[in-house]
Amino acid sequence: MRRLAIAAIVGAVVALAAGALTALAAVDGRRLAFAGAANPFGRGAWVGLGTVACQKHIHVEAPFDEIVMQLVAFPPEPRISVTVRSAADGRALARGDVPRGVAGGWQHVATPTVSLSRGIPAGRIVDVCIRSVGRLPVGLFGSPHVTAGSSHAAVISPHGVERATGTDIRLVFARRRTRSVLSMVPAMVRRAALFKPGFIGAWTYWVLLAALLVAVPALLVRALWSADRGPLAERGRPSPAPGPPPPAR
Amino acid sequence: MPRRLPRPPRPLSALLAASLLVTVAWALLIPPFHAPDEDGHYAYAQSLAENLTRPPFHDPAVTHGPQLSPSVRMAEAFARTGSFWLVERDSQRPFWDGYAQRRYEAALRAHPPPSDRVDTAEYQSTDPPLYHAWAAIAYRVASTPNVFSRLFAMRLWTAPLVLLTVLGAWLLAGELFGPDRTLQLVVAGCVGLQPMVTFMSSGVNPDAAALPASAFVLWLTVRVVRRKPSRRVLLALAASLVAAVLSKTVLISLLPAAAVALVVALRRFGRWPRRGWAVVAPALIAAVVVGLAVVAAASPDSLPPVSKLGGFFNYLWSYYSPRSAWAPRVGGLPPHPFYRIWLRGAWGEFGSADVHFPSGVYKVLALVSVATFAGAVMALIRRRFAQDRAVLLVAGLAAAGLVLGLHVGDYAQVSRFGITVTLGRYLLPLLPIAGVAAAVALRNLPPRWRLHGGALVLSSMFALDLVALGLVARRFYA
Repeated sequence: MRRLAIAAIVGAVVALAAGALTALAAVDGRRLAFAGAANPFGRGAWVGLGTVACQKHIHVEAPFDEIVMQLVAFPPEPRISVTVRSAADGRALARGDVPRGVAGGWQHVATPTVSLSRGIPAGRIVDVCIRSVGRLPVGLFGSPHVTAGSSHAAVISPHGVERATGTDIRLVFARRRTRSVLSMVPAMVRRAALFKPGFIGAWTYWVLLAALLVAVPALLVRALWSADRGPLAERGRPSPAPGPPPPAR
Repeated sequence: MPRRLPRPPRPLSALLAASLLVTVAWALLIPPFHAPDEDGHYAYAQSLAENLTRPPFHDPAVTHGPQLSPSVRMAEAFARTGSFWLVERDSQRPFWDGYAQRRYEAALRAHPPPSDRVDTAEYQSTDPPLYHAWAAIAYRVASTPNVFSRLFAMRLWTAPLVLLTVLGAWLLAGELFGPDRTLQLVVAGCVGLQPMVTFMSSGVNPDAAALPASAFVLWLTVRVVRRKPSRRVLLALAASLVAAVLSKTVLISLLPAAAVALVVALRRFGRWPRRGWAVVAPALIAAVVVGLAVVAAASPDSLPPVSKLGGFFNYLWSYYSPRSAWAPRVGGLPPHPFYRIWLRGAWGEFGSADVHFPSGVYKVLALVSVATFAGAVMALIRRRFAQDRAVLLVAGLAAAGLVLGLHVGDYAQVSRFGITVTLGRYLLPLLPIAGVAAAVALRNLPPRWRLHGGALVLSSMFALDLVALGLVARRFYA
């Protein structure tokens, strides 16, 4: 009876934690597809006056149909359009506009979300080009190009001359539809296995999950049961009556 | 005929296996270079393994020039991790598909960076070398130019150190409670399943070695006080202290507790000379002075100028005063630093300190912490536990020494640069004492309920691990 109670306590607490995690993962909706390597603490590029800024050669890690950027724009409110092109042949894959009312004013940083006309599937290499139709330039936030990826920012002049800026534009790629974290668990397991030695794969994480949920509670129950039997029982003898204990090793 | 090692008690074996499993889970889950300062510690171990020298130091905030090593820089650039994880922490993620990994491997084949060049280990260059020497063994054994494979080997090589941490806590509990396996299990479980202990034992970081070394120092200090120490025990205590200091300099603050334990042992076990204090008091003062000199030599910026003593007391007041949210703030300290830094950081601050429990959880954990120590005090008052004042003294000295040592170092940074550098995890070497408090608190329960209480404590600790692992998985991979 006592042993059952111990197992029940351990099982209940672990089940409660696992259940709470599962419930939270089921209601935790995520829209993030993936994010570029740039940080929004500096200049990514300026656009306007006929100049177009592109973040080139982006590897699409997961499907997306929205792009979030950070910019500062001078009044009057600019009109900014975004085009996603195939990096291979320059063909336009999708386009969208910065919504009105979110990008005005040079005193604050705007973080508009651009809805694209079509979704972009994973695995493609694309360029994201940003154009401003206005008299004053728009600043796009980003940071110096530091990662080893081939993705980089470039500006294209009104005469079609392309120049690398040595920076990256901060872009976050999102989905209109949220996905629960729970539904993403298989993908999360695949992602966790990246940048590990070759023998580590998604299977390792499934085994690990099973070990955590089954083996560790079983080990704890075993430890508690053995503790209950006392030190002498470990050597096959019954525990003595309680008394002043000698120091143990 | 060689003496056979005694078989570990079954509860201990099971707990060791559970603790190791959780630690390995952390090692697998945390993205490369996302354990605290992991790239710097990797570069340190790389320097020892490749060149048998400590890495050069220069302060990345002051001195320009390449940091870490070409191989680490290249790996981080491809994996979008470590140093590239800067400001936009909310939506930034490591690469999520095999594309970047394949490109890294191709670049490695085409232009492998020189393995033996280490430019700096950033701020970690001034750390003592013991843990890095340990990690360097795995670096050498994993003979591959792939930094990620080497890093993973070093993590797996580090993880078993958690077994020593658990063993140290188990032995400490045995010294205090006798062969009461339930209480030993509670103490060792509070340490070996505490999420920050398993997390910090899974990454390339000297805390993984500092934790077992300090657990052994605490155990042997208490043992010296409780039983007539043999030469072997004294040597073991000295070795543990040296290992602790060579893993993390601030653990020199455990020296006064060990010295007082020796004095108590001399008095208790009959070798106390007449006028013994005339010898011992100057020796203790000399030990403190030598300790400070060692710290000053190892890292000159870690001690504040003596002229700022008044400011130091103001700093301590704002750290611990319950009204610190309204009191004038010492620059660099957040409101309620005791709660924000010590408590939150000691219970759970994962990744590069960018993954936390929900704030409500910390409030519950704060209540649990207070209840644990209050329960322990109640058990002492109710005489549910045979008190030994000398043990209380050395435990108190160890705790006070470490906390004071951390504050002195922190105040040096606060007064110079206006930033606090302490983190809650720096208190983890004292966790065996907290585990003992939990076990003593359990003595308030009738004996037949103690095992149930122990089951609740152990399973709750593991539940915290599960939640923390889930939060980290969500943070980096969802």
